Amino acid sequence: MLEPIPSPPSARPLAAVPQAHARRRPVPLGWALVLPALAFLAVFTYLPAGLVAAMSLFHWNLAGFGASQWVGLHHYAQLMNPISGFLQSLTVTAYYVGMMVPLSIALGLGLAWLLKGRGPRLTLWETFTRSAVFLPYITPAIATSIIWIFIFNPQFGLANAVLTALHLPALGWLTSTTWALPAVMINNLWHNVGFMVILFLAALSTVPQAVVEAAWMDGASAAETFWHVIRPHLSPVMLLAVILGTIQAMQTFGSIYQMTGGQFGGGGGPLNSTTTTAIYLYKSAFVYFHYGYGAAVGVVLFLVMLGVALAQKQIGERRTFYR
Amino acid sequence: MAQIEWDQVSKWFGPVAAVRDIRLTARDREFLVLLGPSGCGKTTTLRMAAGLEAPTAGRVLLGARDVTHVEPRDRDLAMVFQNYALYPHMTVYDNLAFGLKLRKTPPANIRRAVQDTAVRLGLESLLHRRPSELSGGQRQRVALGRAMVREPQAFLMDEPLSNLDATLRAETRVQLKALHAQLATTVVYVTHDQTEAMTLATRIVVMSGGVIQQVDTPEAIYDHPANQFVATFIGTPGMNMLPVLWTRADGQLAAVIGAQRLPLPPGLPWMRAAASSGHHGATLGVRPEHLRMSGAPDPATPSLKARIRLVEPMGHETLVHLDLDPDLTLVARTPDRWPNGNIPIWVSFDPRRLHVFDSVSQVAYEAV
Repeated sequence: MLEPIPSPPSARPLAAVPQAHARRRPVPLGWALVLPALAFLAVFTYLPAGLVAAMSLFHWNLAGFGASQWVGLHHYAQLMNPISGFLQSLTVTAYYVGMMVPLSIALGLGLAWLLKGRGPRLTLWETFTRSAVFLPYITPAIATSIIWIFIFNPQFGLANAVLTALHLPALGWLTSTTWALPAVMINNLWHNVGFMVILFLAALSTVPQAVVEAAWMDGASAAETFWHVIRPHLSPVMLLAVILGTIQAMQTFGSIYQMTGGQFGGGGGPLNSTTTTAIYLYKSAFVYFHYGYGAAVGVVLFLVMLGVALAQKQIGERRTFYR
Repeated sequence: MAQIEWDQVSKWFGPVAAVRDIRLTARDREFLVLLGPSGCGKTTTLRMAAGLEAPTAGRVLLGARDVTHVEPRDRDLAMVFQNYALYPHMTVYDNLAFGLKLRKTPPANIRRAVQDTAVRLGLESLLHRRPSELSGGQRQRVALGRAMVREPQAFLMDEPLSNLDATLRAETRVQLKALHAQLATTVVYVTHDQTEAMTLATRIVVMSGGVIQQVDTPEAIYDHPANQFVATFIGTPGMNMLPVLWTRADGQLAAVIGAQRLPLPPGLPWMRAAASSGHHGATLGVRPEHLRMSGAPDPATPSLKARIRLVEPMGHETLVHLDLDPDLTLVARTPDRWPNGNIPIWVSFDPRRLHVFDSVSQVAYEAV
């Protein structure tokens, strides 16, 4: 390619010289650079998602579209029927998400506050405690859920031992329709809180110390300083935590499946008390082999998640302070 | 309106002493400037008055009240931070009103106080902006306003002008001085800039290595530095220091400087102290503006032979770097223009303008 011939130096003002950033790269190069990632996403995400949407309109046969029977929106009509149990699964999901998101954020922020470095450098103890809190997050939920099954064992479990020691009545935990979901929540809080801690540790480290000190000098108590000065600095991360926490909670599957006896029939018990929409989807498709119906559940779950995330973003951004 | 007292205060960070045994009082309505190089302990001293740092030993008193263990919020002091530390998510109005709201001041009073402060500092048109929408100078005024608005007992200022450009700094310095005169409140002000210290202070506290070197009025600090550190730290350029040996000729004291002899008239105030020190030498200090240069020796005043090594014309004055010996140099400051070049000249000075420091303790003899 020919280089443009530099113009001779003259007394022109600088603004008249063509700016380097005004020159644009040719468009095809940009496409070529994103193509590998795009192809990967297309093959493994968008195409399967599209297929699921299509499947939901068929009484699906594993042999393919040719062998499947077109049913239109029949599955969606079925979903809306209370007898199908789908609406109940949404209620269970709402309860689960509604508890998990605020609890994991409160616990994550609280732990981050305790774990944030007090000195100029992290001590060995601080590094250790941070790692300890994060460790469950990187262990497979299927494996750690087995530990929690032992903990929640009504006869020999640690949970009831603690309750008894505190002179509280022992609970049936995973065999109780009231306590099975809270037991799952406790497991998942323990498992996932490390992620929230990392988010909030990062956010807390961006709060300028001088601004906090200015609030003290202005007469703010510790609580007032947190509420009026630190909290606004955390708000962008708070919004992120709410959206990610919601998506994560809505998608929770493995731990519920494992703890509620999935290997003996799909989980979600007792009496569907832990059947979240994700469990419902799995059972529809892979226990009862209603693939088309399961696909319809997947589509609705996706739309619900999208709607919730967009609403959170819309409402949250108005209350968020970006520096 | 209050007096702040540091009573034998020390602060250790691990094995490092930031401040050692400070005894100091900022008198009521005084503009007290803590001056020193970075790491000298001046900011730590200020932060201990604020309550942001707890002393390792000693007490901090506000008036007669011991506040050593009192929270910052209960000291009723206001602080202006070096980087302003404005609340970035609040408007200028809310930044100013925050302290008053926390004190449950009635809304009408808050409005009036914020308005008054805004008018005083020329912030009226900026009240609805966020700090990110302000220039450095405007932010600085908001930080000042936030401190002023609740009429604290005293102001603590930590290098409040150091983030401004030179022109703005000079302007704000003048405003600050006028403001102090108006408010008549105690100010403790930390800076490493001696111009700020000299122009603003009622008294200057010169610190080094966590220790107070001298506390006095700007004029006294300049004219009678207590030791070599103060003498060289204050003044641009600092005081010239010449190691000398004493000798006697015809019953008269003379200083041997390099290969030259400088006869000194009898009866100078420091001579008794120099004699009783028992040392054979001392360090002579002379300010650059007290050196006179001429083509021929002045018979009336003691003179030294020197050569011009380098000339720095500053416009309103000229700094002339002189070599007495290859390793003995002086800087002279003169309103006259001097040519550059290796020119031999004579330097003379008024012996009464000489400062003499003990060669071991570095303390000025006149102060002994």
